Amino acid sequence: MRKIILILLLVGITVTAQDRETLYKEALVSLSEMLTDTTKINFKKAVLLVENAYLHGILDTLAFNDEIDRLTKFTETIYKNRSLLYKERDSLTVKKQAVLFSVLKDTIPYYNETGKYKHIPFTYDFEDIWGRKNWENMFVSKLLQTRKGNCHSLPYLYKILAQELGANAYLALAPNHVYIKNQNKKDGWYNTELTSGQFPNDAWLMASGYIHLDAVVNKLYMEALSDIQSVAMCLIDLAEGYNRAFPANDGSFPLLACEMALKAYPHYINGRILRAETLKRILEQKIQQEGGEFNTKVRENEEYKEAFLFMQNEYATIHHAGYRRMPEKMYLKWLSSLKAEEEKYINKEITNRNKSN
Amino acid sequence: MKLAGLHIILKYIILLGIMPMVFAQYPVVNTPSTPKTHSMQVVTPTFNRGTASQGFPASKSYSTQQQQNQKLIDEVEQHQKEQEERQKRAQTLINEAVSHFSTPYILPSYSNEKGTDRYRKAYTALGAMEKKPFSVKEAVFTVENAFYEKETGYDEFNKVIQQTGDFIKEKMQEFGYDTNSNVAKNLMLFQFFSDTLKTKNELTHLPLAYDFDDIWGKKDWSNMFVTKLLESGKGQCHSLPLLYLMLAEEIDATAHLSRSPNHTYIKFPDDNGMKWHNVELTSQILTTNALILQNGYIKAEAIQNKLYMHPLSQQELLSQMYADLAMGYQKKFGHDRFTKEALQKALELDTNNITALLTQANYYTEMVVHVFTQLGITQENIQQELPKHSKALALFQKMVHQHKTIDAIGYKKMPDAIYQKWLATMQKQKDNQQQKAMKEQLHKLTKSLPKL
Repeated sequence: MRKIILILLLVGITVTAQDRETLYKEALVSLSEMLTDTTKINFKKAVLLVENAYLHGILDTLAFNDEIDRLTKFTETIYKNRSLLYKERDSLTVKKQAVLFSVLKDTIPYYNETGKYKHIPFTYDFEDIWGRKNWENMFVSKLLQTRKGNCHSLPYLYKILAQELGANAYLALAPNHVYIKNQNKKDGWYNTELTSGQFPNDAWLMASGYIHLDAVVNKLYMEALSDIQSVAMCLIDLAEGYNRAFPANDGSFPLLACEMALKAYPHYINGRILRAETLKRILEQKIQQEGGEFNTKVRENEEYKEAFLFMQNEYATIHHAGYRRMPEKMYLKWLSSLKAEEEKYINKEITNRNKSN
Repeated sequence: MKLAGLHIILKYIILLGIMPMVFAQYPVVNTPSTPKTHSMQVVTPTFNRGTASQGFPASKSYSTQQQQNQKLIDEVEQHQKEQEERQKRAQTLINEAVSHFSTPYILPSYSNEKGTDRYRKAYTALGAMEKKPFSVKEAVFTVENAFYEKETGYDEFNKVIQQTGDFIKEKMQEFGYDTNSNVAKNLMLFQFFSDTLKTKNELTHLPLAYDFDDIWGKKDWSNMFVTKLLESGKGQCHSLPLLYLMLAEEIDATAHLSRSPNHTYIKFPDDNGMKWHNVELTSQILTTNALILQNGYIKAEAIQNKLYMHPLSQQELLSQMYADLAMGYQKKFGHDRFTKEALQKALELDTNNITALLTQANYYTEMVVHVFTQLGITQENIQQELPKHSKALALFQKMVHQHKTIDAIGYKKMPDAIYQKWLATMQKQKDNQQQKAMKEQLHKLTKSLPKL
């Protein structure tokens, strides 16, 4: 029954596949509905909408859902056959987290009717980590196909699977980075880092010197994000994809997406930045069309002046909140610091506890 | 004139920590009146240290006599301890008996014990400080004096701080620092704590050392006090920052107390209000946030909820004073209504005062243990018994809730051993390249800009 519905859905999507612009608008509407009506919140669906719009509606939704189902069932099977060292009252929830982590990061042998197999974990793709060459490199669908992902697709997949399993998982941000936060009775909040498959403590994120203390205080980073906030992130993903799909757009679509996302998650740093950049682009485009020098125009025209000041103020607020740009090289160095300074930054309690008996 | 001179000499001697006992007539220097007493005035101790050590003839050879003395002192101390234990047990029994007649839901009160009235007075005194800007000096003195049970002494305490403040101001002039710059003032304060300085009359002021002995005040709670620091020239992460704040107040510098796990330190803003600097007084270094975070026990939630690394406002500092007051009472007597009230006050002023929250959680834990004992609830029968007593159940839930709240705002217990290891890593920072660079940068900020 479910499959039939999915096929119908798929057919429905392929019909409109020709028009990418329409797909984007529809996705925007669906995502904004999720934000206003919490009963409609579905992270998996949100991710699918974003990716499918970029892919002209030709994303194989059926295969995507099949793979998610398969992974979910696989996780459930392992869940039944494993016991944990962790023995607090919330041990069953913690076990779900532990098994889910295993499925994403461990090699697991298994048997079925046709013989012995090995479950191969998902790995980190060092190629094009921010999707600059190819935006699809950020996608969960790409991760499912190639088994390789990045700090965007890996935690997203974790969250999707957690949702399917009925477990809690919270996305959390660091500069240009997404990781997972979970909570248990014994340790309170703890982090799961899927790019390297480790459990770093907060000192790794804060003390390695790449995050300004104010940025933590102001919750730009390291906040356990609610489902609404996660969907707001998808909205910004949608806008970023749109900018790549239509590089010459007039800025109205991304601006609308930013406004919607920021209404639900006002301090979302990537949303704030994208909005400021979009406003800047819109202003530049306007002045360019009229002809004339940017600096003089901004000073002479009251409307432009106001827009410019607003934009400038936005940038100042972003900086003041503690945001600093992080170049790619620095980012990679930071990621690898987790390996290099394991002693200092690994949460040993979680690492040991997640081991099974 | 001569008298003033004597005062100045005296004050340096105090701050230099040279044999303060010699100047017993100087009240601040004087040893506090036996704060150790778990005073149960039911029985008078048979022995005390004074009579025991005086009673020996001076004829025997020094070392044997010393050994004998030591042996006897040990014996006496042992005896004294046992005596105290006995008294405490007796008192507990009495208290239990008394409370049994009334209701099992009240912790035994210590309010009729000698010394508790000092605490109530101090509580009222702190209350008077709420409405207007208060003096850290006065507040800290109030809290410490309650423990010492002394009537007077503030004038002397005040004088020492004032004179030290004057000395720091003189030094600023001498070093050519910009006397309007907050950075300069704080740098001078930092130097006062960490450097060897010469006074006008060629006396040497030594840095204020870290006292590795009894850093938690477990042996003697007054080891946490500024009074003790002034007497001995040695302090720890509680007393050193408080003295810093008092001196900052004296020279009109802006500086704030800030917390990290098991620890407090100083934060001060630069003159444009753009950047915060951290001063670590236990190892006498300027610290970076990264260094503080590396202890690994600060969660992002704790920072977001301002548990740690947040410069405390006046109100939040006063909250800390109430928490200190409650802890002093608890160490001296134990938990009862007084600690509950003082902690409530502390949390009213600063809902995320982690010291107060933890002490309050302890209060409830003790309360639950007490109530369970009274009602005969044990680990074995808790499932059956607890639901029968709705009040006990509510109390139990309250306790669980307290602990949960603390976890939820990002607290994680830092084990003592790890704390000490972390302090040691801070010590190692002293004199490294980064330290020098940071100090140099501060020095640059202290000179007034040449007029163009």
